[in-house]
Amino acid sequence: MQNLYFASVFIVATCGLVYELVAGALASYLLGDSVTQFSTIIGCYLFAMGVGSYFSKYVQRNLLLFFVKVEILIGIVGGFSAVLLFLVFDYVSSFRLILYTVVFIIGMLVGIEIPLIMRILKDELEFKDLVSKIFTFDYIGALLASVLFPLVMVPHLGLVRTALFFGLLNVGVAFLTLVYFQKKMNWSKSLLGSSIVAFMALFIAFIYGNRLTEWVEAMSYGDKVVYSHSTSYQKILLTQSNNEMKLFLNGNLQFSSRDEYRYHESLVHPGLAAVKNPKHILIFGGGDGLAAREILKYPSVETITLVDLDKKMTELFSQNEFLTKLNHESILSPKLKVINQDAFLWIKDNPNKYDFIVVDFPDPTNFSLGKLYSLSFYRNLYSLLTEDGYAVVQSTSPFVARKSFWCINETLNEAGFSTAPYHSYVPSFGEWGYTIAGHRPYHLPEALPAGLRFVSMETLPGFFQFPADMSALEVEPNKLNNQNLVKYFENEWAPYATH
Amino acid sequence: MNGLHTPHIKINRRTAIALGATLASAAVLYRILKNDFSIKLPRLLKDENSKRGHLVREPLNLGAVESRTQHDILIIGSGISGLSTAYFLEKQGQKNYQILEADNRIGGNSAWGQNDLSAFPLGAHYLPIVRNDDLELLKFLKEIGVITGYKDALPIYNEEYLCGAPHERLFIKGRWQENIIPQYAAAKDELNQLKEFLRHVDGLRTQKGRDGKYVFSIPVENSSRDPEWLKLDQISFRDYLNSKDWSSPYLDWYVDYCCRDDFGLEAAGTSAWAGLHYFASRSGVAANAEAQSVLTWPEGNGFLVKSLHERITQKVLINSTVRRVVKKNDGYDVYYSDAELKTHVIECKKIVYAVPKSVVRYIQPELKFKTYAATHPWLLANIKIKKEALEEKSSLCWDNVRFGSDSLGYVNSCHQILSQQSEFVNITFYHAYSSGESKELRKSLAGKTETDLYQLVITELKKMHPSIEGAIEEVQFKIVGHGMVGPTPNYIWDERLQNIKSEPRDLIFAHTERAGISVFEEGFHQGRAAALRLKGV
Repeated sequence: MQNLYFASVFIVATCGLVYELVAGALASYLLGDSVTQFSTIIGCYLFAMGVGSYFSKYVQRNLLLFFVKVEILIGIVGGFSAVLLFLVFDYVSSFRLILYTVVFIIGMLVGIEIPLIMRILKDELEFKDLVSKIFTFDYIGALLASVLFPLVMVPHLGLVRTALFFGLLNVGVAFLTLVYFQKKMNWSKSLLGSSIVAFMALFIAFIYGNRLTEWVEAMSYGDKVVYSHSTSYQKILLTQSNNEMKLFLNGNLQFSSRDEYRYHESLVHPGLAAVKNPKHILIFGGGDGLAAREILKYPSVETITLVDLDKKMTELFSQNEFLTKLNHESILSPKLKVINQDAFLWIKDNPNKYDFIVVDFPDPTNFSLGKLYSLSFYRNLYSLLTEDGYAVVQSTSPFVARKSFWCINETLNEAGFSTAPYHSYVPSFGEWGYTIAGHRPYHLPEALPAGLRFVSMETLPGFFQFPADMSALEVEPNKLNNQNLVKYFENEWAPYATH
Repeated sequence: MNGLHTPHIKINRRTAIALGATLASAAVLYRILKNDFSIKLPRLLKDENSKRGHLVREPLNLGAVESRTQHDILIIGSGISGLSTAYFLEKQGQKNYQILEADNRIGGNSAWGQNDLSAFPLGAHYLPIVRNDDLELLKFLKEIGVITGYKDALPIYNEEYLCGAPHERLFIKGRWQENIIPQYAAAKDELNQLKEFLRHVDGLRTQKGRDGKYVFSIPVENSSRDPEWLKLDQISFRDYLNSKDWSSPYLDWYVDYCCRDDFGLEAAGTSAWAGLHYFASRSGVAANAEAQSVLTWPEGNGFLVKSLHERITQKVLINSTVRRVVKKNDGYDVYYSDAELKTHVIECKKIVYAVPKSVVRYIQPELKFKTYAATHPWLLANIKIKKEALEEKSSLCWDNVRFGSDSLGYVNSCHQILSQQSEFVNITFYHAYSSGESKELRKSLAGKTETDLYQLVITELKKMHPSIEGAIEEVQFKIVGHGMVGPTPNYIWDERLQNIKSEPRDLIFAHTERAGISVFEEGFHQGRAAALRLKGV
């Protein structure tokens, strides 16, 4: 019988420490600054244990029954702690208050356990044996938890399911105690029932835990997630912190509201300002409307056709208040027409010609996207461009992915374009590259629209200068049947991979 | 208290009941939840039209005839050979012909299917870039836009039809390697043998016989007749490899795989000449693609079928099984059954049999042939599946094969689609039943339910992708009872020639069994030769 108690001490100790670790890890995930989070949570937890121990003296009768109730409570509160904290994170302003309350409740309940067990066993063992045994198991359990948690539990189950799993163990201890000490304990059936219900609830949550784990992933962006939506093409995620908004597509940063003007001014003006009297503009990708915002600075522009695969993108950027402020409601402009269609399918069927074309696709991270940078796509692009027009292609970083950058240039040349590769510095991205392509060679513009914050007539010539560490390399063009670009890109970005 | 014993719990009846009830309810709950969102049997469909084909064997009452029509020429079969015959007839200005097809779709072994996601092949699914001496086929490919022009006398192939990267991967020893020639974790000897073999067949690509012709050419008819080389047809490919001391397990499997893929035979059952022909005859050179590149489309060679069919004026009559051909003084009466099994007659001057002779013998029982080419059954399964389930460890390729498997792996039918990936892809799984007695195999396959077939396919696929099952949405099976012709030893340069000799002179035969190798190029040339013989009809 004593051994059963010691087994519970062991499990209880393991569970207790795990909840503490879950809370610490979760707080570091969501709030950042892991040193602060872990210190304050451990402090709060230990203090709460002390409070629990202190109040254990007020439990006078039915010690065993009380122990069972405590176990069930710990199972529920601890088990669901991670789920609860993730769920409320987005919706409450005082997240820290809830976090420390949860940690405090768990700590207090765990704090009651050990004194209770010692009292239950006080008549069965000599005091010195009792203390030595109980604390031995307590500390072994703690060791097990601290080793299991980072090595086994988190990698395999994730935070949410780890907490749920240990919740199941706590409730399991309660249940076994109930059935084992049934005669001694005079327990009510409703207690057995509630232990079973708690077990079931934890179990269901555990099964569905994977979906909750996806949440964890979304949280790893560091900032507060204000919008998250998975379409059949991509996962759109918007984060916000201190008036800075960031857009991620499939985990890759697309822009930060702090410096996106640098990217979009660089993308649009060098090419568009060099086109005489541009009337009809085409944008591939760019569902955020930010390139369109820059294009609308040219009064001669009559139509903008925006081809973006994802309806959710263009909807989001024409409805969300913060985002429409950012893109000056460009998507709602009467000059702009949105076409939610696949770029490759659309380009093959479209008979119209355009004076300026922005090709702003996501980086060629997979073979599907690689098709949009292929010789075949650029040949179609060539026939879409007027004789005097220019296209500009987002060409990834010439510093990080030098071969990829020059591969895009090489492929455009192979398709018959005269090209003018250039680059600019965008703090969120680093050194970024673009390629202007036309039927005839590029010449610098004579003037730029008023009110630009980054591109200027003075700095523009420097965009086209490449220092030695980004200068042209011998590369193969990207064709559908070799997808060289995706291979270059994978190799070059691999050392930087974060997601 | 006596030390650290393991706790032993006494269980009484009440405990047992409570414990049992908890476990039982947990189990029930688990089952409910599991069924709710994971392993569900996908939608299973089976495409089987053998009944219509097998009608030829049944007796027919020639009296009750629904309709009578006249045509100069009747073509039986709408595979590549039959459609090519019509294509070349049109080039000759002959439009008075009719094509009958027993199946419910055109294309024969190059048929294709379609679901809500994309088209997918139901048989042949690629064409290697064409030999530069095959002028007729180059001309046709130019006409249908597969070749877009020439640069330095070399054809430029349409980039959208050249098989896109990544091409192929092989699952070997628990990981995926690029390319299906097995190399991963190979010992040095193994690699050397593979290299030696590949160098050997590479050399044969330019090898000419004493008559000045290439030893291995396409069409087969253009190959050298030098007896020194033709005698390779008398031994099996396996014996040939053994004679060279090439017996590494890697090479063994690879060669077997190739023979099963192209002929539905094992290397031991394939003629050495045919086996070498597979490796040494595809010597096309392109301006914009590497040697050995292939052309492919979502519907496989169905694309070529469509291209041929679009270019002929008399469209194929499907669901039309020819039952009897009765010879008359000035031509033939051809009896066929339509979809409702009503009998119609076509009166024609000439007949083109673009079907195997094993079928002809039922249609015209008075005709006797010495031998019939061996064919084996195939099982095809088109699977609509979540793409991510196939990409746990490496990117999905066009061709995906498992080392050591006796199945042929699967092809991604959505590979050539230019639009951005959707959540699902169609993959087509192939299994050639190369060993054992064909008739028995066909019977046992025909008797299998969709669920049996699903088990067959899923067992193999799970070896490459252990957690594939929940990701499958739909499986469409097709059993091909009589697959392509298998070039067993002595077939191509002996039995085949005798068979051609025994063809009655008034009838025209056009089928790849007359070449011994069932590939698009041969069917195309069969059709061309048949049309030439019909000039002036």
